[in-house]
Amino acid sequence: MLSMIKQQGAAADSRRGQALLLNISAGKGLQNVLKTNLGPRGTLKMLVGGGGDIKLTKDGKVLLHEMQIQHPTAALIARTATAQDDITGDGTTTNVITIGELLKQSERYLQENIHPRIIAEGFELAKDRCLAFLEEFKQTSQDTLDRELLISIAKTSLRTKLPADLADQLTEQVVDALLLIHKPEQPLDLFMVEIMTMQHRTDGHCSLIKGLVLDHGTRHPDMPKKLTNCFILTCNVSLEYEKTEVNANFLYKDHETRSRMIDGEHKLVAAKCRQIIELKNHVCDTPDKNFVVINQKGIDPICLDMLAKAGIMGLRRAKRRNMERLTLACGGTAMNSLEDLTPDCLGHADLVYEQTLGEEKYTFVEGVKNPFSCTVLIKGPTKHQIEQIKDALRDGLRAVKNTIEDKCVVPGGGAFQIAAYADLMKFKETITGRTKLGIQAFADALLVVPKTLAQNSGFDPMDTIIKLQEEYAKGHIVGLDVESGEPMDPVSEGIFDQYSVLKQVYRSSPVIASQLLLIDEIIKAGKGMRGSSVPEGQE
Amino acid sequence: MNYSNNEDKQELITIQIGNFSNFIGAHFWNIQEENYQYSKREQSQYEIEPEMLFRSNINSETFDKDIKYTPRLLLFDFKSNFGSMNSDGKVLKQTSKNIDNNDILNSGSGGSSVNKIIKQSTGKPIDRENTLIDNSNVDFEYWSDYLNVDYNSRGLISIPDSLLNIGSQVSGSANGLIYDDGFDMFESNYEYVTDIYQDNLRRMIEECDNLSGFQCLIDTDGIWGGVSTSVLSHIQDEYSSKVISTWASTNYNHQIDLGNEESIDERIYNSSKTIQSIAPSSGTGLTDLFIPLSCQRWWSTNKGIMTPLGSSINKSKYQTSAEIAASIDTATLYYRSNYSSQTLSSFVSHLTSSPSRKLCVLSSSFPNRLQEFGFTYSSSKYSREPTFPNQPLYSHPLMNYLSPRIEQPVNLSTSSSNPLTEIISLRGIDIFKSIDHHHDRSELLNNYDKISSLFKIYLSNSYNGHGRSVLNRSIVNIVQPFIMKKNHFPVLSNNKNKNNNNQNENNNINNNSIEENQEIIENPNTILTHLQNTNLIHPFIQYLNQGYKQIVQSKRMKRLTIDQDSFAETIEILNYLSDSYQE
Repeated sequence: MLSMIKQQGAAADSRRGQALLLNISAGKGLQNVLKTNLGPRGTLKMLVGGGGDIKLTKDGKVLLHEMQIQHPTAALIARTATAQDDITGDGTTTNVITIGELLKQSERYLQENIHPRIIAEGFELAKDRCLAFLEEFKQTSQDTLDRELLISIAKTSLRTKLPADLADQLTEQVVDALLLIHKPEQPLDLFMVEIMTMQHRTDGHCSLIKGLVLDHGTRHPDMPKKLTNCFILTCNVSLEYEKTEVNANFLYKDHETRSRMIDGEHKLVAAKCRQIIELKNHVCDTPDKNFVVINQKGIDPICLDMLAKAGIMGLRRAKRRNMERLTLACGGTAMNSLEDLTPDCLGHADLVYEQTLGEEKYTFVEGVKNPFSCTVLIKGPTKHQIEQIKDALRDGLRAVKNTIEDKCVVPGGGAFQIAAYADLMKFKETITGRTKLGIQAFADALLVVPKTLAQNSGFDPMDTIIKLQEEYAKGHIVGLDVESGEPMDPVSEGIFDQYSVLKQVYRSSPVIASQLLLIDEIIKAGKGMRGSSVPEGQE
Repeated sequence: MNYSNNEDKQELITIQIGNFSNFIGAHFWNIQEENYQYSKREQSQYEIEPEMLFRSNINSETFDKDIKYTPRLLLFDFKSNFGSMNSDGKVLKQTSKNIDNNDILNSGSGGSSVNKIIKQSTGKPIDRENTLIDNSNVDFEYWSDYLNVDYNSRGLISIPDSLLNIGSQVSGSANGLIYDDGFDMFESNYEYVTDIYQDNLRRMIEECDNLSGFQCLIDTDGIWGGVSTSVLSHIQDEYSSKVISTWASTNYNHQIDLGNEESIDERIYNSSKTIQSIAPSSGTGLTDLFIPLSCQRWWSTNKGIMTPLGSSINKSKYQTSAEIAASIDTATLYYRSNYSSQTLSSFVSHLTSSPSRKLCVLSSSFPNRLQEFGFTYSSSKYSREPTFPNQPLYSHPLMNYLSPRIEQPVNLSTSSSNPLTEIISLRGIDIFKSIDHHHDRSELLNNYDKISSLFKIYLSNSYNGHGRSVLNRSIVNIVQPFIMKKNHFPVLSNNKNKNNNNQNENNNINNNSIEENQEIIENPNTILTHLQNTNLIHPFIQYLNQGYKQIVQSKRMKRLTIDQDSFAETIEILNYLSDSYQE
């Protein structure tokens, strides 16, 4: 990390003012890297790992996580941007390029010997005004549970990450998944949407399974692989012979006694197994009914054998979170002991079947009555494609979730930035003194988003901005049509940004930008001794 | 020992946390691979059960495919430490074509100085097929460079380097990260690390029919003690009935060798915290057996590395980890050898007779033949009486302690030198090699009992008068020698020091020294290890205890903020530990 300062911050270099230029150049550098990825027509980055791993992405968050960033300032910006992603799930790239642009715009004034403090004050005023304007600008009139609206939101978000045809396919799945798990008056739990991946020899393809897909299968050759009309027992009971205490050892004289004692232990486990089989025989009164046991703990081969003989499908070591999902999807309750086992504890699914793909086995639990949990299954031909879809899917889910929880939307395609610019220009007139300059810089920096959008789509940024501003002056809300380069109405086109993302971007980026502006020197802290216990590769 | 056909064969999961542990681990897996290859070459029965540690990709539908064995392993390291290993667990071998490509990529990204997306080709992986290259006296930057097996892709947990920046002002501090950083990192980055490793571990365990436990190699330095605490507490929560044994090691650190106080403080702090949280003496610890290891004498003024080697190349991770790995391999034969039906849990309960004494000590030796030790015995002339060394095994000058702060040679006292419990493991057919080289392999194969009974006589005789007699003692021996190809393993021998000195002096006559090495490697190697639960560990705990108190009270470590409660708790646990090893 320090290597850059060591180079650039040598004694002669770190005079006052130099630090500021260093920070600004770092901000601009990072901006330049991420700039080309913004928007639906942005280009991709290819990340190559040490072992030849390839990753293709245009997601700012993925990039910032994988990139090796040496410069401390750049790392600081990257951290702010990834924090943005952690909170809202989107807007990383916007955040980075806004910070970069804020620094770039202030550089102009700094060269004319304006004190950074004045610019920072201007930023502060402009930020408050801008956020107030956002409150005004957002559209609360629409019903945010409306499927059409959510689809537009998801589409806007996904199209910035994936090729259009793949994005459109995902869009519906994302929205349906969330509408499925949405319960009124309760916060959305995205964990209830399971994401499963399969490497399959087909094109990138996603499907929504109303039910669950488990990433493991049965471990006994005689167990049924496909069952219909199943009762499902979800439990967290160990069906394994195990010692309770490490230090409690058998005392045995010969091999025979030992195996007899082990058999005795096995009886306890076998008794548990028999309880399950009894319940199965009780509920499955007609031959078309079947029984599935899904256990969070282990099931040893002896028990598997018992279950297989009784025609029960048994799965062991299910994911802890799947236990919760299973009961939400199929009904019933998760059992922690088998003592009070009743038919009420069982869930139900129409179809449970196992699918094998190479080394991997998957178990599908489908046809459940009223699912509050579901699975999005991603199939793709290559690992990097699956990864790309997975990252995008995650962002799409977050986008829809944000909208449902914000209960409002903001017209997209740069519409907010154009409108906020005009608003800030008005605001600037009411301010006296040099603080104005800070507001001007902030307003100019806002425009970086529509400018970059235009640039990435192959249009002249200045032309486009002027066209958009003229159109806005006529009193319309306008965004950029990335296909034609002409102004368009984002509301009717169905291009929406998320309120919470914009709020977070314009709240955090001026703060970090003014902090960077107010740095006048970079000093190396610490005694200058290499930390002893630093694992290699940390610095 | 009785040979028993293990009907219910146990499965073990190995966990490696930290860079140095991964160096040890890479050697360990290379050794396992050689063990397996040896049995296959000699067409003998597996003396060391391979299926215990390895998983195969066989399932009922894919029997026609190639069967591939990969270690049942979960490892943690920084992404940048993986070198040329890709996410499939394979090491990308360098070819001339690769190098060309990298040149092009590098020239393309050369312009921007802020970031370096495309990394240069990392490391210099060994050529696995070319066994003629002598890599025994070099150093490797990455553990993947000399790894001779493929790992399982699910077991690789790479921690993004960018996570390190979170929360702590790394850029401002020259100090290394400490225990607490690692713990916080794992507890707060659920999505990037914790969720992934927990799920991968679960899927690995799902495959096991009879999982008996976990053997963990962990680092105590840096963040890794904290990471280990987080990982082990998850395992303890989720798989509470399984046994966990932990080998905690520290790396060679040049700063400490120079006497840098801050670095020593950091190590003391990290070691104390790790022992306190993973192996407290009460029954609630995260591990059932804890074996501290170090390849450096960092506690005394007489610093240097613990292994009996001299030159600076031998301080490298590659060299030091090899000795630790070979010792661990032999020491764990108790539960991995096919000739006894022991499990990891019986290993642990054998060594830790009381729950307040979970710490054990490892020492090892690499004799060329046992005569060096003072043993003479000939199987051919039954009339000859065996002779034994004079001193007990634990104070034998050829036994090299790998656990920290045991001054060698051990001072023999009459009251309490004897260990409480011990396991002695012997490996190699030549242990009783007679001078005339006339040994009968099949006879020796049947003579496990003879070797152990000989050792028993030696041990019980020599331990007389040095305190209580040993509570549990076990002797494990296998005939399979320890043979490693020199393209991925350094030279291990008690007289290595001598060889290296020779080499340094006669740099010009390289050929000679290589021949010399060859002779050593191609000889069947023998290893003797000694695991003991002994009071010898007491000075170490006492040292940590005092050091920790000083660090906290003098506030020497600037980044450290310790509240009174956790300070008192740590001190209490360390006191209790040191008490248990005092009587």
